[in-house]
Amino acid sequence: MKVFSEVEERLKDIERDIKKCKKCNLWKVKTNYVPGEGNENAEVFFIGEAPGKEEDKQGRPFVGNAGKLLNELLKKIGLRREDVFIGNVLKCRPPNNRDPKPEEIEACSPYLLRQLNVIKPKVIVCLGRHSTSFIFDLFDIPFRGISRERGNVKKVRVWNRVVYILPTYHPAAALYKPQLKEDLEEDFKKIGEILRRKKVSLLDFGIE
Amino acid sequence: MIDVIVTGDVLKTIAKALVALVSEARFHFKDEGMHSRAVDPANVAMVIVDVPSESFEAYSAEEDVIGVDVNRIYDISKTIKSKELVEIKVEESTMTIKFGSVQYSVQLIDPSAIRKEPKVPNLELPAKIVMDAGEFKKVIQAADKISDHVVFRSDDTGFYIEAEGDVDKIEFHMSESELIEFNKASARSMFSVEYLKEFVKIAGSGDILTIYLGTNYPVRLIFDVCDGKAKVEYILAPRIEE
Repeated sequence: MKVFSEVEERLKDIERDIKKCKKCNLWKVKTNYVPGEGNENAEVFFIGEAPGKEEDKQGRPFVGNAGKLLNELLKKIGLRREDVFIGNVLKCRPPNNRDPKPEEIEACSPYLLRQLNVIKPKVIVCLGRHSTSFIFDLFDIPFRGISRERGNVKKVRVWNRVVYILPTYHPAAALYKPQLKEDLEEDFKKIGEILRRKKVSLLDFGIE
Repeated sequence: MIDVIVTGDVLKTIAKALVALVSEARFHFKDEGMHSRAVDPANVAMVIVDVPSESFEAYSAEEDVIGVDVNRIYDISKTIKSKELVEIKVEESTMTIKFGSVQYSVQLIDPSAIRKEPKVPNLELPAKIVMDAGEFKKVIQAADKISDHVVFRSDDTGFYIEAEGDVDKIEFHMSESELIEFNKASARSMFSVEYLKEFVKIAGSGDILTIYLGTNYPVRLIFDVCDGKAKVEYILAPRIEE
């Protein structure tokens, strides 16, 4: 029998709550809930906007073409999907991939916040303008549009430490505008840089 | 019994040097002068303060260790002028600080209740750089505007401090001829600006800073401050790029 860690248990609780959610009308039109998935000890938490067609079909985040690009971008900085956590602001697909409505974000975002509070990542990567504006709002950071904010790492103090917020384009945007792929690659490099930075104490040098 | 007289700048500097890392410290009074050292709660940096007895205007002290609330002393020292004479007396568990017509009485802390002092390490650091501390302060303050870390680097072409922000970049370079002393050894380490910006607060233009630098190793920053009357050394752990 598999023994789940406390963090895994808490993530499963959130997933159970999501799968019976009726807080907005999207549950009526979805095929599957898409709670999000990944490593419970992830240092990086990716936040997308909402599930698309393929995600809705499979009940998993970023499994369509945008997901393929995300995997590729992760690989370039030495990460795998299993190393990170991937979720969306909305857990159900809005019909025809329309933009999330404010009341849907309000109803659904507590699930994302619960996931963040359990995982406590070192880096929060906001994919696209909806997740960036949501996270910026949460930390009282003024949002001036994704093309101005992308790549600018913000530092916030939460969970008793510094957490880095990296806004970037949604990988789907690079599928329509291939020139954005370079920007995405450049922004992803920053994730690698943040993770590589390691604070060392004097004790590591035998000084006490 | 401790009864010493010192100029305001020295007391201010000692207090400022210590509050950068801790809120309480042990002060050791010996025949040769006053000494204090402490490590911050995260064990990232150490401060060592020395004021030789000759730097006091008057020095009469039996060998003793006292526990001091440095935040309190720092607050008091802000109201003292640099050239003003300050008399510090310690009797039993009270320290009195007298300047002009003001006298503060501060309760001492039991030294055994303060965190154990660090041992002063013997570090082998190849590069030695001696420069104006005010110049160093300017670079650190500029770096703080754009990044949370800086790289100190030295080779036979000089000493470099580099900081890179999201869009901006700072490169400070001084060649051998611009430095007071330089042994041209190669070294490179990265450090947190959060700490450095606190350290440089004690430095003024004309003060001398001696840096001992290694590669991915702690740095020693020795500030000769208050016209050479006090020596403040910081040892800071590096940030490692894997």
